Amino acid sequence: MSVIEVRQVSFSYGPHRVLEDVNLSVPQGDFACLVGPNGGGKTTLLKLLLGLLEPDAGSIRVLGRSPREARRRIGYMPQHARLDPLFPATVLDVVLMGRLGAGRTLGGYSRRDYHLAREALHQVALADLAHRSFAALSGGQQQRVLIARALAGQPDILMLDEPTSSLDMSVEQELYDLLQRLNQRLTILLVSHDLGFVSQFVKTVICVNRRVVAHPTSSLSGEMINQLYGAAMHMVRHDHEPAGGDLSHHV
Amino acid sequence: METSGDAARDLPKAEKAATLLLEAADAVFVDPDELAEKDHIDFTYHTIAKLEPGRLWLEVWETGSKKSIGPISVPAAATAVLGGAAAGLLGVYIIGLRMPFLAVCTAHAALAGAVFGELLGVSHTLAAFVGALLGALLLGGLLSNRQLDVNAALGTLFSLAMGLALLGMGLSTGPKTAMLSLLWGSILFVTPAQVGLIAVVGLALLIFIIVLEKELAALLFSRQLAAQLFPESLVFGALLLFSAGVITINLEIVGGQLLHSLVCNPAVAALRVARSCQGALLPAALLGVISALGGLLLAYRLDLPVGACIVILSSLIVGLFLCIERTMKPA
Repeated sequence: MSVIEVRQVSFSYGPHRVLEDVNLSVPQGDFACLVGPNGGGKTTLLKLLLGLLEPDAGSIRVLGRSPREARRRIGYMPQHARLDPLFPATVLDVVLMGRLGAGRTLGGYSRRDYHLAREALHQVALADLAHRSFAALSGGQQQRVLIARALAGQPDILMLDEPTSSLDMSVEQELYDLLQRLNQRLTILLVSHDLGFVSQFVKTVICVNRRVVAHPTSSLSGEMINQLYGAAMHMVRHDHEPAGGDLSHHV
Repeated sequence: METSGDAARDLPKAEKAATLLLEAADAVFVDPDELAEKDHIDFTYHTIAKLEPGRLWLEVWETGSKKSIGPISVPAAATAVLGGAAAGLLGVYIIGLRMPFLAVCTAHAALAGAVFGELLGVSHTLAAFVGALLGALLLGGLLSNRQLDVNAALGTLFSLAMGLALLGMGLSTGPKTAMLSLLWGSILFVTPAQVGLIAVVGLALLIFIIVLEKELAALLFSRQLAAQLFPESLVFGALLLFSAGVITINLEIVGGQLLHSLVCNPAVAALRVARSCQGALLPAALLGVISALGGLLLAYRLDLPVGACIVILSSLIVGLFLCIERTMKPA
């Protein structure tokens, strides 16, 4: 059963066509990665799936509904760089924001909102930092808080935009381990540049460069990557070991 | 030179005082033809004889002798408290959105509106609100065009508002003292009706903040994230509307040139030590009150321009809180 269905979607920013005749189907329980060159339309496709942008042509269904209607069942984590890392809020404050739209409409948060926020923090192993300042956390911890924030809304699909940007390798490994655990009950769609590393974890690679082609990770080849990026590329697979261990690279 | 400077500084006050006296005279209209000869008074000119918080006395020359009038009630303290608190509250959101230039732009749009109001003979408070609102809506429109950067949009609007204000002043053929008073503010001549308006706008802002507390906090954290959870453009639009309202009511206090400091400085100071944006609201409101009221008292004591005293005091408070923040940080 597909949780995301995109049919003949096109989208332009003014005169610039970013996506053209896109067709895509993401099955339930998939762990898919959107890859492609800068400006290829990855983030735009994610915004279309979230209902933040409207397609010029074609249709999008998420969980059988329009993206706007399905928003409350999608947990979204934006690119880390677009947040103010010094924003004055506690970890719990940030996670509670994930209850907006799902919990009480007016006034403060309910007891249930607090319960679900703490549960989400527990899932990302940060329950003991609930009252710590968000700004005081490390980059990896902040990313996990943002994942907890996305989980607090009890989503069916998790969408993440460059979740590992600006993280070191060991933290990146931990984050993907967490996502793999979450994938046991959630469909996950993420945008990443680090295809070599991500290909160890994801089930499907969705190549986005104005048009979209999805491949099972096992069938991904160097030729496909060259076609996608429009130039000869080397696919590098990093096998990260825990911090302090050996790092081996295969080209 | 010094006397000329003092006189120039007092011109807006004198014109405002004349307006207030005229309004007072209109309120108790007496037909001069029906007055007995002994009740006729020939006024030559008025001077401000004495100034105290909340009251002022005028001296009047009549038939060759000096006579004191007063005290005339001036609700300056109430204006400073209410206006300062509202400006402090609003500032938390403007600074939280990392758009301090929004206050500058909206203040100048309000100034342009007030100048054109004076030019067209319309209430300058109403015209300032219309100007600020148009400025805020234009800003919202420019920002919705995602190809235009926030700061580029703010810069464009600021230039336009300043250009319009100067154009309005240039087009005016009559005395420009009322327009100039909008540049620097004149809290001493705020009327009780204006204090009522400041209270209403401040209360509305407070209710807005209480009702949409969660949404506003999410908006400050990330507009991109907020857009996925609720109609953030509506909440942002409402915030722009309140910006226009609060800035308009404070235009009379510190003037368009300095107003952004009263909005931004208390919030900047409060956010230095607060652990959350909600936690910064009360300190920012209090610091807004301290800035406005303290500046007012300093101006009384030292016989200095009120707007400048308010802004300098609020800047000193920011400096003080930066020092406090430094001492709070672990070594």
